[in-house]
Amino acid sequence: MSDREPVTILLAPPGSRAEAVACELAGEMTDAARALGDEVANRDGIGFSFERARTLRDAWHATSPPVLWHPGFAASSRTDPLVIARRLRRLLPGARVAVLMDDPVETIARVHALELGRAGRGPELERWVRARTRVDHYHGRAPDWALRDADPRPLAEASARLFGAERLALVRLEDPGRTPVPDWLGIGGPRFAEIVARSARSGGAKSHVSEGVRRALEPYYAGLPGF
Amino acid sequence: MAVPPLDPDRVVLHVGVPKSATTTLQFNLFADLERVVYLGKPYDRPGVPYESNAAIAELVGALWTRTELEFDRAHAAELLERGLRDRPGIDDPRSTVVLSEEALTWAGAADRLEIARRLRRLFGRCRVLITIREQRAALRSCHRWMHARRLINEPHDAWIARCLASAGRSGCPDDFAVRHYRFGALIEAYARTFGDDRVSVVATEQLRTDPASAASTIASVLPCDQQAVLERLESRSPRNASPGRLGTAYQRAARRGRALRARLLTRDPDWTDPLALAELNHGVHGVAMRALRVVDRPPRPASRETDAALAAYYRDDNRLAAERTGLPLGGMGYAV
Repeated sequence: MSDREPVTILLAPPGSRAEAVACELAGEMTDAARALGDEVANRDGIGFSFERARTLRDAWHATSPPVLWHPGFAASSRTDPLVIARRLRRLLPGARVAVLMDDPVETIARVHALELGRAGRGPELERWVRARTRVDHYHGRAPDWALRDADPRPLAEASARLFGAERLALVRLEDPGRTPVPDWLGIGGPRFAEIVARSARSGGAKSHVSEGVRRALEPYYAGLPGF
Repeated sequence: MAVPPLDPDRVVLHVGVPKSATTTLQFNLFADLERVVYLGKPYDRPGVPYESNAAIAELVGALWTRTELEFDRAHAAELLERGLRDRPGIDDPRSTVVLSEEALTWAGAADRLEIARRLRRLFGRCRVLITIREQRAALRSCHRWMHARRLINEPHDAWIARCLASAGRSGCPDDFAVRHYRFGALIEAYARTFGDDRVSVVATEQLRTDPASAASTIASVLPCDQQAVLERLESRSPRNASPGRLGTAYQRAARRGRALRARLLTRDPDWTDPLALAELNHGVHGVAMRALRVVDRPPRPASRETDAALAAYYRDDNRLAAERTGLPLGGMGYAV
């Protein structure tokens, strides 16, 4: 493939409403896109092969539209966002990146409900969050992977460093009618609002967020606009 | 006084996968050998200045939890320098510095290859000791550990099934928990980063079936003889089973109780608890923990299907590990 063809990469925290939007924008994931995404996102430095990824990229490009989305690109606690961005930059140097951002607390409520198989009650979510924020005396850190995943800032920073600000769009979902969406994303304001509204409806269950949950999450998301 | 840069020949990194007898080596061997300057758990070691221990704990945390965006190399070097400063034995050129931490192989926040590269930059081309354990046994133990801390609520088989499913919630196969037990790839990555001749591997099973050969491998990287290693490993029980949910809750309550009592007595609200893990298994706490172990529900053995699925997942990688290390992994129960 020619590396210069415009490709759009979509990033959104896993389990978030933004992810549902990215999924809809990207359309049905082809096998080739899944294979490429799996190679890039699901292997750490031990196991990743650039040659294999390049072959998969060519196969993806030959069969799929130029919008690449894979939930693993944004599992930032599991796969280093800068490492993923480096791989994507090397594979698709001319690509543009859109980071879809949502309120992380909203994302946590969805992820919890997904794990539970139903909408959790406030105390259930609070216990879940506290188990993940409690520093383990043995290892000296909190098992906070899910909480880190919900934060879109590392995705934005890694993309800005590797792709440059001019190729990066940060799209917030809070007020979709007024959120500026770049032309190259191919969706105007009203259509974007429509997709966001649909994603909110189809997003599945959401656990109840109590004040205690917000307080427990404060150290993680303080400073995020809208938190 | 500033510590001069360490000679890589004086450094051993113990990269032990979780549940591969790392605690046994850390508490019974590294912390107990003469001419070993040990950096690692327990971080509240007596005789070492608090600042040194705190600096090493922070360095280790940064190495494995910080992503490339967050990791600050200059700060890491500074933490190492602070951690070595005033440490007993560091000025003896015959001593060996040992850093041990199982989280260095954890497929978590930081990319494991990046962790290896960070270590290489910090310590140079030093020696690396990797400890491994048959995956099915290690994963059962790992499951028990996470289940006790309510990080997983599923039974073992369901958890493994989810880990091995083709696509999990985040689109990745949720195989991160099982991935760090791919030893072949891990050994190869460290051999590439530090050099083939710098990496030694010990299988936990050797400690039971062939302790002399395990001790010989360990002694080849430490400033002691095989006999000294054997004595230390044999004099203490290598069993270090993780407590279940009740045991974990008890340990937390014991720590909270001590902290509360001390804060009331000292009137110091910032008093931190120096109760070491080992103390929670001895004396009154030891009796309570043993009693709780009886009532704490023991883990169910894995089903045949789960065992077969894990064997299939690891087979190729185990062959690579056996080829690289020359260890008879098949004979030790590994799927090959």
